[in-house]
Amino acid sequence: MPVNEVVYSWRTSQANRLEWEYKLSLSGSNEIASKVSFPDFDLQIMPYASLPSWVVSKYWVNQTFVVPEGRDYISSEGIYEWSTTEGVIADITKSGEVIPDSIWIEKDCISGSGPCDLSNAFTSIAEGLRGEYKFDDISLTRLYVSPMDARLHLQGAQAGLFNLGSDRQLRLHNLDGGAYLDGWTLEQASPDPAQPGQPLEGLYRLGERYLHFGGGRVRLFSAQSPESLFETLPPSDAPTWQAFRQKMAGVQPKDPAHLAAWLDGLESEIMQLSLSLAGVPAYQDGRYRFELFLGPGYQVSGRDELGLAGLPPGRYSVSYDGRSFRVEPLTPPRLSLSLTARPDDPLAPGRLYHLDLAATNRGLQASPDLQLVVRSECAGQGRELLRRPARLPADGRAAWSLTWQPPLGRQCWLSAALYDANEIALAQAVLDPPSTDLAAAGALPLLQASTQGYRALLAFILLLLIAGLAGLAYWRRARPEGLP
Amino acid sequence: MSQDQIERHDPSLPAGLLLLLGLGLLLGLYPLLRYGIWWGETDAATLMTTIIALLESGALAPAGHAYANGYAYPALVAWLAVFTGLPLGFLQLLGGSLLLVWVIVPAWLCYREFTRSRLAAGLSLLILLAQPEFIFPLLRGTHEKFTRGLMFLCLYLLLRSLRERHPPRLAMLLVSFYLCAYALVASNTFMATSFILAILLALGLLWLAARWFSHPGAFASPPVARFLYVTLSLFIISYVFILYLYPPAQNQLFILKSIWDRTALLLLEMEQVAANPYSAVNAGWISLPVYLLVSLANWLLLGFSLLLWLKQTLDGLLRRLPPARHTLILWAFYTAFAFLSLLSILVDVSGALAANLQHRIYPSFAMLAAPLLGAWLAETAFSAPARWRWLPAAAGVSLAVLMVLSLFKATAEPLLSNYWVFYTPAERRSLDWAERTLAGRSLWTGPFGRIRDAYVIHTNGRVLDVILDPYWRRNDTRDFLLSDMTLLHAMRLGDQMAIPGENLLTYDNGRAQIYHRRPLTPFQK
Repeated sequence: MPVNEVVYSWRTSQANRLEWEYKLSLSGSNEIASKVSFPDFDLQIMPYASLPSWVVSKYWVNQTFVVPEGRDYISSEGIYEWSTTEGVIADITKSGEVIPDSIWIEKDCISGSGPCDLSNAFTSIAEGLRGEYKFDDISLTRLYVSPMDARLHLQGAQAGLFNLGSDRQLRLHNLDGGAYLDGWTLEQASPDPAQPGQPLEGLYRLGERYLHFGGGRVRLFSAQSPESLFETLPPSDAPTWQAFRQKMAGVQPKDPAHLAAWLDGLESEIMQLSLSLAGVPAYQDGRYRFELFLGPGYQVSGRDELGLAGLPPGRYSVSYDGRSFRVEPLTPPRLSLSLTARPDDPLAPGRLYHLDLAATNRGLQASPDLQLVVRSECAGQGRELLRRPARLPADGRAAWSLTWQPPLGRQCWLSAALYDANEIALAQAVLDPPSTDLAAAGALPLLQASTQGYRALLAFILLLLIAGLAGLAYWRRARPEGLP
Repeated sequence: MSQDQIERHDPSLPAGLLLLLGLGLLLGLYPLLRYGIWWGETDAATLMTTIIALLESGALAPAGHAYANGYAYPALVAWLAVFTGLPLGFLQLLGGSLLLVWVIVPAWLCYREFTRSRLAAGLSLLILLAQPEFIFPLLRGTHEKFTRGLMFLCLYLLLRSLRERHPPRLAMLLVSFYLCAYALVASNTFMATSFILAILLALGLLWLAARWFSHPGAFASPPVARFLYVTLSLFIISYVFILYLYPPAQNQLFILKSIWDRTALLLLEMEQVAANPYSAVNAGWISLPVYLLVSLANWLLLGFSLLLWLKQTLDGLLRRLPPARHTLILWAFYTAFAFLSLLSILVDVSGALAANLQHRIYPSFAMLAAPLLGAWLAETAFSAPARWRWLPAAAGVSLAVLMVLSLFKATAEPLLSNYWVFYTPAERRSLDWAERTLAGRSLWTGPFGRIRDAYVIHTNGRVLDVILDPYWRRNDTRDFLLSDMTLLHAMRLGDQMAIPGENLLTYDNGRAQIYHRRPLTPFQK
């Protein structure tokens, strides 16, 4: 299976210098059938002239989109940051600085050793650059301009990051996993790029509502505007480049550091609360869910769509299904884990064990990132049988299954646990099956399988013959001496 | 009993030899009855690739597929395949085990020369056929049955020529010897060079013995002079073969970095392996007592022959009684092979050489230990006093039992051994399906090579549409064959298998299943 990597950079200005405005990094598995002939040999490559249209017409597995915002990016080759296959460079000016482990994450994705979960590979980007990514999603590459920030985005992007400088960054979200970005969080960046920053302001589209927080207030707006101003394919030739250029000329990007201003003249405010929002809203099973902290003496103005009136101060979980809000006191994650044998296949020596694992979160707060680990412990020797990433949403559940063949003649027990990032088990389950003995392993089935039935008798007769013949040969030599 | 008496009491040649040939035939028949066509092992499967490449290319050393140690066996099987029209897999399985019988006559001739007694030769051969380490390689579709047979022939021709005074017959014996010696080198270069070293060591021992007994003219000089010529000639043949006639032999030699490693490979019947040879005892059998039981013939031969050798050596050292010339030659060869065995084990265990060498000289040692014991049995045990007359009978029964036990070891009896060589029709059906459906992909076939090897032989070594991937799973292998026997095998080995539930069960015939690892990314199929 071929693996292609494409880095496609372009600009809209006609300046006579190598300055780039947009970059797509694409990886996929597209056959290249065309050949370019040379006097002595042929190369199986795309002809140079048709390369842009080939790139635009193909489906790609992993895609990143990088835009220098308000800065010049001059290079002889294009924009280097946020490649999809060679390890992620966050800032080319810091030579060789590749985001740790990103090369392995990308290689695992391509080789199939692991899932294409590249979210941990794109955790930082150079100042003045905005990057967005979309992985594990075979699709054409399409771009759109959002009315919210009036900037060009990668359609279907799963997340993004905009480094505003001065340790501030704008984190881009796709809450509902749809075609358009629908959340922006302005953060004070953490010194550790892998850790989330301190939220300063946030704007999220929850279906028919916009939720904004910042300055000690939470505001709710209607959401009537479309999610994109226009959509386009990347330019692939002179006419499409001209069209793209003309469309972009009319777009005036909004200030990324003042999210509240984005809604001015666009949407109308419904209510305002003097309280704070904890975390980014999550979307699950058709419902948005976020946490509110109602401080002492909090105030509500406007139409109380949330129904907060009369609620005592405290932490609350708010869910919204597109029609109405529901507010409940927040309960922390309450995880439980079970490890059971399948009812129709009871544990029995000498058989495969078909095991089911089920994890449940009965809290109204989502679990942190977890690792499910199943281990066997046989005669003092431990072995990891299964490891899977897990994250349990509020009031959510997850299930796995495992078929396990135990070793012979050893007492084993199985343990399963959900570990957090500090390797602390938040939920555990143990199963102690009966040991498998030699009889259960089956000498007779083994004999039958290896002789296919009738030959067992013939082989036995042959063994007797061999022993007899060896004895006879020996006896013939010993006989003259008169053996008894 | 005198030597003459023994010769006089020896049964007639044809009947005795026919019995031994019949026994050899039954031994060769056993794996075919035990497993039918449903078995195979790695060396036979690997050599099939060489044989096919040889047939297709018409070259003795086909590029990329040459058998590094010599061309004789692949060339012989290729010839047999063309001559008989039989499928290669059939030849490797059926011929591989039944051709064991060809060793009987050269071994018997050799032992007769070593012991100068047909009675002792017959007994020696019976003892040898009860040695599992000797029988095991002879039952496989590899060069070793011919290599061992050629060693016996070379020894026979060499010893016989020492007695020959008639010039034309002597010339015939010498020509035959060098032809056999070349065939031996072409069969397995490294076993041949080890064999030559043993002759050189025997030469030195005979020279020392001649000095010690102060009787060089009577029995030692002719062997010493002849052995010197023979050793030099054989070294030249080997040198020319490795460096000029068959370049693939150099690859294996020069892949080793140190000169000591090369020397060991060349002279101590060692081979490159990836695993620790001594770990086989722990993992290879269901228990240590079972291993000791099926290996009992080895230990008995080792112990008894060592005692006899000690007695002969002490007799010579203390009493200065010169033994018969054939006895002294046998003593010298036994000493030489015992020394090489000891040396190979010492260097291997000590780790002085590369850790990927494995000694395999025991069968050569057994070839020389058997006549030592056989001659003693013929000379002493059968002439025991009346009250000890039950002893030879008991030895006969023991020999029969040992032969059966050894056969269990040599054929890796799955009830006792953890190294299985059989596969089942259900596994075969699943592989047939995989070939049709998983073309171009790789399929994991279990923690050992048993299924792959047997299937490769079963399909006559043709290039398979599916890539069979035994042992450790390749990174890009996404399909797994799990049969009831694979699970039973893993269970027996104390191993565990875990199949995550998200895998897809793509094939099931009741006793063998093929799982497909659920694609994690769009790059996978």
